[in-house]
Amino acid sequence: MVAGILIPVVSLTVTALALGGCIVLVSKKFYVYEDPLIETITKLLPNANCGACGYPGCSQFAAALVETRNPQLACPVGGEAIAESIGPILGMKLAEAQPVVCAIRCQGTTKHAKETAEYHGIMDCWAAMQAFHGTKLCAYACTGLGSCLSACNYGALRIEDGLLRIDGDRCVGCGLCIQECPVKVLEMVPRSAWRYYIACSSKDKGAATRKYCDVGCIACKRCEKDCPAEAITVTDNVAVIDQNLCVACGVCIDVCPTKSIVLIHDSTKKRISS
Amino acid sequence: MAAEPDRLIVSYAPHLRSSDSIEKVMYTVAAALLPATAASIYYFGLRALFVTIVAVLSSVLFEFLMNKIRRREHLTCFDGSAVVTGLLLALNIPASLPYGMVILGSFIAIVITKELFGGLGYNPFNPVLVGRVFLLISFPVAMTHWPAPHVVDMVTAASPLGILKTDGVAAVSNLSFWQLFFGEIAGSMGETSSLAILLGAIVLFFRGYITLTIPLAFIGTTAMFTGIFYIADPARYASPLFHLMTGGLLLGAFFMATDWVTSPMTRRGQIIFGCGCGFLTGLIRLFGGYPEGVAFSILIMNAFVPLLDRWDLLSLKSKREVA
Amino acid sequence: MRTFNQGGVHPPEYKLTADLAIERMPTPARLVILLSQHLGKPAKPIVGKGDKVKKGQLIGAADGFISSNIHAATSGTVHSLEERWPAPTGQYAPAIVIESDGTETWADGLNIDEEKPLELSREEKLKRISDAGIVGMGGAGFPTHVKLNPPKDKTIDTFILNGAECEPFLTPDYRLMLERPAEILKGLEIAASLFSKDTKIYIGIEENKPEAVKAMEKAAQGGPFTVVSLKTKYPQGCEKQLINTITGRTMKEGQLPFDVGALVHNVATMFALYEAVAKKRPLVERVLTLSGMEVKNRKNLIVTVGSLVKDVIEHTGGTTTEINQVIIGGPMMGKAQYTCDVPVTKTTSGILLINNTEIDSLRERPCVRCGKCISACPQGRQPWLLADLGQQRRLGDMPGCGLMDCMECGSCTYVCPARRNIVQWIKYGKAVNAARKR
Repeated sequence: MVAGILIPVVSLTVTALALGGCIVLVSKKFYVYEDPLIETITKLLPNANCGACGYPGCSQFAAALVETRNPQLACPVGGEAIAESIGPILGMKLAEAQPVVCAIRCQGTTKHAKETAEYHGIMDCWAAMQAFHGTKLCAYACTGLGSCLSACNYGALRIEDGLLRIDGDRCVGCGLCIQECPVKVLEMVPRSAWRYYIACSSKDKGAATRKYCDVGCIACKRCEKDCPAEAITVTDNVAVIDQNLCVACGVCIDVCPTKSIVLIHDSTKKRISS
Repeated sequence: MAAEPDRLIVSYAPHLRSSDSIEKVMYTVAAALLPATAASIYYFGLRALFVTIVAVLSSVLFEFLMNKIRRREHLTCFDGSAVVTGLLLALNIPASLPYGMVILGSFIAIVITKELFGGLGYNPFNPVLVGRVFLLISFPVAMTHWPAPHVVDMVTAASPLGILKTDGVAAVSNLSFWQLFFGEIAGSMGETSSLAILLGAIVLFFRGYITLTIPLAFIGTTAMFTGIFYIADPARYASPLFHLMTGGLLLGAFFMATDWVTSPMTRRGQIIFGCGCGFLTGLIRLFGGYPEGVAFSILIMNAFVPLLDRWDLLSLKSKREVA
Repeated sequence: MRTFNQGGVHPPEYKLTADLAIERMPTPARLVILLSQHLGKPAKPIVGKGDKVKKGQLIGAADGFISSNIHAATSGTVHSLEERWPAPTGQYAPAIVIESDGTETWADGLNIDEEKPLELSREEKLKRISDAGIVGMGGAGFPTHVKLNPPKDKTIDTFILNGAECEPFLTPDYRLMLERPAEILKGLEIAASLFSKDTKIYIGIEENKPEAVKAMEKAAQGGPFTVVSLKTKYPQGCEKQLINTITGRTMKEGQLPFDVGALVHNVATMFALYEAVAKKRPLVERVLTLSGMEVKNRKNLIVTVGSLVKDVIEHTGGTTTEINQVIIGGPMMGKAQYTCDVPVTKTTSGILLINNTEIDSLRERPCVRCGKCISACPQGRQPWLLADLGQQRRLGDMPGCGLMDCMECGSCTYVCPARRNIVQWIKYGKAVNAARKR
């Protein structure tokens, strides 16, 4: 009876000890030194692994930061807060990424933009692009099928009335959505409290744009003429506002005949905190 | 009509589709199972009919509930797959099984084996067989006591395979070939009549919904395996013909091993799958603890399907690269 | 009966217009001539608004190596230059709109009668083909002069005339083979004369067109041609499958026909090539089929390139009931259009007016792993896998599974009981992978 219990207990203990010894040996032999700073910094980062910094993930970014001590390396998502919390750890002042936010250069909802025909098939922008730009006549319009939605880790994107809407408060500016867009209607713009923005990217001539959409930029150049800061230029049949020159006076929004200029309010303080 | 139609639809080529849809295939399979169901009612009476109705209705109901719970936009409970599951489950159990157990079997098949894995197309194991095996392990007595054919008051008897297991070859030598062929033996509702099963299988084959690769490999391997032992010692082992005609071999080979979702997609995989099923069935029947091994062997081989498919894919790739 | 080595499906044939002789449709008053009717770069417009043009006059010059000339299809005035006009390919293309003057005067030096077209020099033949803007008229629109001038290190020993016409509904090639066999064979002979004398010339025709086989056999008597009857099976008329059927050679992924020593030409292309070399007529009209179950008068028509689909429908009297799809090409590989304003191009082999009642209830179900697509794939691939990868957005893995080997014949999607849009997933994968490479 005692032997019946003893034999398995002893044999299992011996096996466990032997295997434990192996683990100790292996961990000693294959030990790789890693600066503990890397882990500390990784923990401070947003850890969304979005890649906006240029590195595949947050831990790689941290490793690069510790290794190179390059003050120019910055996390666009974390911005100021991250720079301030990581700087002291490394004993230096880190550059602060200029905060950006994603913006869509289109207002073509189903109400405003003319549609082509009913589209039956895969609900994906890239797939729909193969047949007459999916659902809308304008070649520069958001197709509204939402290929970009899955790219966003922060839930800042949604589709409403056949058009992509961006929640500026949730957007961290990682820029992952941009490459998912086949129409190239998304772009990153500097985050500022009040911002005037041309929400159209149609390079069609005015008459054609008017045919396709009620709210498209028809390149009438009125905003270009009236802008006191000379921040607006019309190139390729579409106006563009230079956000660095813009003084946010709002003159352009009043003169625009098609209402293709919009005012966006960003809460600049909102940040992903670690 | 004017030259310009009001409503034009942009869709992708091909604009022509074959008439085979999931619904059509599933209801054809259900129709192909009707001979076996009719045979079960003929041999086991009205109770067989009630068991079938309970199994089908509960399967459809469970699928409907899962559709609702998963908030499916389109209901899948009427596409026929639940009906086929219910029908097959009924054919896989004794006619004397209490209704509660039948419903439990449907629950295991539809909810646990199919819907929890994602619904039709995603289940790695055959729902019916999981249901059957679950019942067999949970209620071994109820699942191994079959009513004898044409007996009204549900006197239970052992199946030919059960007798073979416990009493040896001599005990089953009184069963004639025609008895086995028409199904005048004790057994699960749909497994007894080889004729009815073959009728259904012929329908499926000519509609192109099953290929003969898996059934032939399956049946052939079982026949060979049992045949070798029969030749070596006919006094101890039953003949391969006996093995083919009894138990769930034909039903399993034609209707369950050929299930699209849980069988390999290419011919080479199908041959290996069929042979594996046959070998395991023979092994379990001759040397295992259970008298019958079709359900277990198909389930075991189901687990190998992703591997077989992947192997085929890899070899296809490398062949292309070398060529 | 000869056929290709793997896969294939048997869709219903619906050759409703097989017994109707080719008719000519009058040139409409306004033509929209797309500058991109071929593979490769669009042609450059060389006329301006208000210019007078004559029939056959060059109005768009080939731009680059793989491009093709575009000609005025009738005489008249250039009404406007459009930057963006819906093209039958499902994209938009620049176009020149011509207002016809109704006289159809040919430009100088065109529409002549060459006595002995075969004896022209190789350069002259190629020049006439390229000048006339001949492209593959089966659908892809690959410039013929480029195809007939393969790289020097490739030897061509087999020349194949593609008379398979495996797409349901379409009959233009069939009617041409019945009505103009001599011209087609002359065109074929001219094209083959660009290569060595030993080049074997095959004429492949599906066995469901015995009349065409007879007509071509009769016309081919005494010539260097072999008429081959092919098994009726889709996609018999795809280049890769036809080469395999006739020569037994298999094209590997990424290979072009000349890599296996063969060239395949469409019936209509050879007819146009004959007219280009022997008559110096540019490609300004083509034969097409207007068909569909609901069409009042189905027809095989000679239509001027640039006529709008609207005009063609009007000419034939429209449909008996409402339709909801206009498809250019065949039902297996054709493109659904969103407007009847698309013009007929050099590659438009058919216009189908369809009342697709199934489409509203059509929805994709998950793969049920029936394996039908695998046995239907003429390229021996696993279409379900490509569709799965597309659906899971694992697009980077798709090229490793034969993405570029797929020629989008639609066999897999035709047989799929789960109604999956396999071909569209594949096209989607191709589009995204191409964009990522850039």
